[in-house]
Amino acid sequence: MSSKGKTGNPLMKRIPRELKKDLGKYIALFLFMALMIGLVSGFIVADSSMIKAYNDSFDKFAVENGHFNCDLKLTDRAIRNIEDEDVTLHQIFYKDKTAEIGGEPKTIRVYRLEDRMDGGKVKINGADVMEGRLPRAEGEIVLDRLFAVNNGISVGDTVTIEEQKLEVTGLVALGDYSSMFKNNSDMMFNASAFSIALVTDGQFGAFGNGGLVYCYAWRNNDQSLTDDEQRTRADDLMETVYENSMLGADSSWSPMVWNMLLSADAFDDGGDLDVIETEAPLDEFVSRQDNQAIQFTGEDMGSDKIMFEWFLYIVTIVLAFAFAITTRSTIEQEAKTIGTLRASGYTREELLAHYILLPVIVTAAAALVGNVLGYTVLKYTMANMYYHSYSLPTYVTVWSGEAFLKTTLIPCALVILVELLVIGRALSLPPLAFLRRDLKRKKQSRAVRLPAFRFATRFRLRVMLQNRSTYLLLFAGIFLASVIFLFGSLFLPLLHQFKDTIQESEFCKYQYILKEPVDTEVAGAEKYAVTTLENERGEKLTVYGIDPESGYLDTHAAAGAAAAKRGDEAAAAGIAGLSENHVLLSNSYFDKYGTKEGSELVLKEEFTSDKYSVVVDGAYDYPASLAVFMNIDQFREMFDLKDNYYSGYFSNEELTDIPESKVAAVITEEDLLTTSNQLEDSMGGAFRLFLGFSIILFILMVYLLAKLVTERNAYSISMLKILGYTNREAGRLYNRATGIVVLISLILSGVLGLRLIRVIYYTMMQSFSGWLTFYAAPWGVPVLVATGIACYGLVNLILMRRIRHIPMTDALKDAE
Amino acid sequence: MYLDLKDVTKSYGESGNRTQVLRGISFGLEQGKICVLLGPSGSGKSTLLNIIGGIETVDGGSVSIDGDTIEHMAEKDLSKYRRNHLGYVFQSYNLIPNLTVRENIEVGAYLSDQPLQLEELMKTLGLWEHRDKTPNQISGGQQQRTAIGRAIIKNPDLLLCDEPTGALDYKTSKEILALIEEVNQKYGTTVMLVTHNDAIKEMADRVVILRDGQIREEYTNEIKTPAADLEW
Repeated sequence: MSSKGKTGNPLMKRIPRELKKDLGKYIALFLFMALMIGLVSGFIVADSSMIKAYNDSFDKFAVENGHFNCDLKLTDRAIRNIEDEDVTLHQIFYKDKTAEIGGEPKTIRVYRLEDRMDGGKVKINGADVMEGRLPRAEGEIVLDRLFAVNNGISVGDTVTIEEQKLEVTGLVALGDYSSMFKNNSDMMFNASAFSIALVTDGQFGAFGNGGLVYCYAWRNNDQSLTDDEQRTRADDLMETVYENSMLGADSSWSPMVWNMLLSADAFDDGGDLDVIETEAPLDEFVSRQDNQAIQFTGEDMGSDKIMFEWFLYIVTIVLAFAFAITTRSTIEQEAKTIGTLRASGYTREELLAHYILLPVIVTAAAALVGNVLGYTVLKYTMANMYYHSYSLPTYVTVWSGEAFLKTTLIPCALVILVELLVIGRALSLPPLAFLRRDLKRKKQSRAVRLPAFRFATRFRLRVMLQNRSTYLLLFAGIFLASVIFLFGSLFLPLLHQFKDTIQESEFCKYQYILKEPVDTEVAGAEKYAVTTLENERGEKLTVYGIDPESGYLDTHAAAGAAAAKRGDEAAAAGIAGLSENHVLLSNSYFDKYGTKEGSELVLKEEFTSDKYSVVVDGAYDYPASLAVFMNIDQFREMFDLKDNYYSGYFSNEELTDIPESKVAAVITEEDLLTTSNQLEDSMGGAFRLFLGFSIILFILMVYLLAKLVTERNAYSISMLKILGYTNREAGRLYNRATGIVVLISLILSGVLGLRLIRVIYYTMMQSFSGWLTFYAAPWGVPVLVATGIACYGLVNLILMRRIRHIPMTDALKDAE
Repeated sequence: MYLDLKDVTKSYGESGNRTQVLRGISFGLEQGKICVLLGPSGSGKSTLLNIIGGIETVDGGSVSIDGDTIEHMAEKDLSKYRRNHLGYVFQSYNLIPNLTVRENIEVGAYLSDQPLQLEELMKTLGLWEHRDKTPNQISGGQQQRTAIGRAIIKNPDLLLCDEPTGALDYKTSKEILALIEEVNQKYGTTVMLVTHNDAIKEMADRVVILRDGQIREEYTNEIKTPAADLEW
């Protein structure tokens, strides 16, 4: 008999047949993975392209290295002194105006186009015109693109500011406002209620001077400085600016005279002097690195990317385990064949390669299709998510290998790794173990003794014990899906609850912050003092000085409750308010920092090294911001202010008798709701995506693993049928065991998932300024369980169909 | 001697519950011969076959095949040894259900650099007509023929058969035995055949009878009976 050369591995011929045999399972896995990889790939492509456009915008649009605001215009000498620090200073004065859009007041921060652009050339913080054109004449304005989208404004529409009708000639993205932070200390931007705008010099002048801010932006002359060097430069510059900002252009006094004036007690009632004495001329100093309007977008895009990648890897690992366990089940079924092949000389590695090939092929195919989807269709979906949140410039798709690496090679590598671990371990048994179908590593001397439950219960317990590794993975899958589900379903209620709490704890409808003291005749208006300090972590806190007899804030009751709580009955009974250097903190501060009552809190000035130490008496129910409440007399004493000093009014009525030029800001309920509104607006779509994704993941995991339990027990189910059990009865024994595991997993996942989300939430929120109190809607877990049961009901129908199709002859055949 | 076993011992179980399965087995077999290992259940014949096949280890003694001792071989070397020298046939056919007859045999061919000619072998095995059928479409005898085809297509030196007719009827059993005989004669393959069927010993060149892990009787058949003429 003649011989011929070595043939190709005939085991390869099994692959398409295995695929065909379990087509439904593989299609479901393929579609799920392709969609998931497509979304992540699309996201990475969009994110990388956006990040590039964002990073490039710093040079392209000459984005500032920082800016500062003064109450007065700087003198030429002051400007020269500052520019001696190797920077170029640009004035970008603006006016915060209110426009009625869609029946609601919106803040429009109006800049002079000529300060930023000179014809087509960018001077500083240039504009990318996304639609239309820049203004050319009075009566024309360009707005932020995202604000316009959020408010249904198109090019050619008209907006009214200070009763002047302006035609919107274009929609832009400004380099220094990729996210619409009105104030740098705001917790969240708000692209629905706040917009930047550019107008011509003539139009800028045509507006009143209300809301005028003398803003100066600088660019380092050396643009090659590293981030650290830029920070150092900014720190040095702050001192210079602070010194020179005292040289107001409206003043002819020298710094020496100013210092003398500021230290003199003799000037007690001079209006101008009050201004200087009570308000530092330097209002704000923000380097680019600390500017949320510039940095937030970049940081968020970076962290989103990490989150998406990890999400992909975690889900891939769970799916890889599902793959591995189903493959392990196949190995159990084919044990004797494997034993024969091993006895014939097939190596463990050859069989391992064979068994992991199909999962890897499915993953690779899903990755390939997912990447094609990601690079073509889903890229736009993801980019739109960013354009829906941020005012980013136009992007060009960056074709980098990163998305391919992260969404193809890494998932495939993860699947291979998990398969190698699980299947490698299963195949490491000796050939004889396979031939004898003796695949248990740990020999169980006897069956687990079960209590004297009724037969069906004991039967189901045996099914659970027999399939415990499958059920453990089922729990892991359900837990993952539950966390995603809870995250998707509970975040909006959290925001709504936050809004409700803010509305309930709001102490007045209007908080006026004045540039200088001014009287009002409006009844009920109450004077208060306010400033901003930093805590030891550099987070900005609003420090309020409150009238002890305030009609708006009941600090008496809060201080009394705090005194009673710490056992100081005398203080609680005869309380006259907060004593010297004792303060109340908003409950959100307690929540964020875990501060203890009675502890010491050190507060510091932002621009100087001045520090103040206060004792925390207790909490005041005010979740809207991180705030410190103290007696107004104590406030005046602490900051060395006059006895009659105040800086604003609380009022439930609008103060119509105060000139606009004297008002620095008015805080309304809308301002307090900015964070939650913006989060709801920009994240609402993502939350719905999470919900849908979690339900698909849940169904897929339950289906794959429950099907596995049924298939493993096909022989026993066949035997039950021979004995006279109906399909329904056999199904009840096996499927109900799975159903019970699903139910227990759902309840456990709900409880543990909530805890995990709470931990993640607290950790995540620590990195934000401000605080949103955690709230889990009480219906969250019940809805999760109900949804899970409904999904299981669907899977159960499919499983029952499979059980009906298991022939009785299975039990009569040799169980090969 | 092609196959040489010296004082082979093997036991199972823990110290308190230890069962000695083989108690000092020694015998030899020349190349190209058929050896039947006969004995009742639990006599240790399958264990002995598995030791020769390198899928079970010895506690003591030595096994050498064509001069190579296998008791100290590492797992990789044992795989190589099995790959190069052995063909295995079991009572259950252990075929791959979603491969055809031809492909199941090719699974064996893949292990050899110089396998036998597939088509000719299938004709010899009487499987040509069934080459494109899957195992569940053919009879038990045809499945066992396929298993034999898978074992011998790589042209092994030694064919190990563990109760190859245990699951077959009388007529088919004889056909399978005749086939093994034919393989032995045609390819010069040495055959070790484990059975509890006393009649099969008549077709062997050498007969080893085991009981309680020891050789009770060992002899050479001066006159063999062809498999086709066996009766039981």
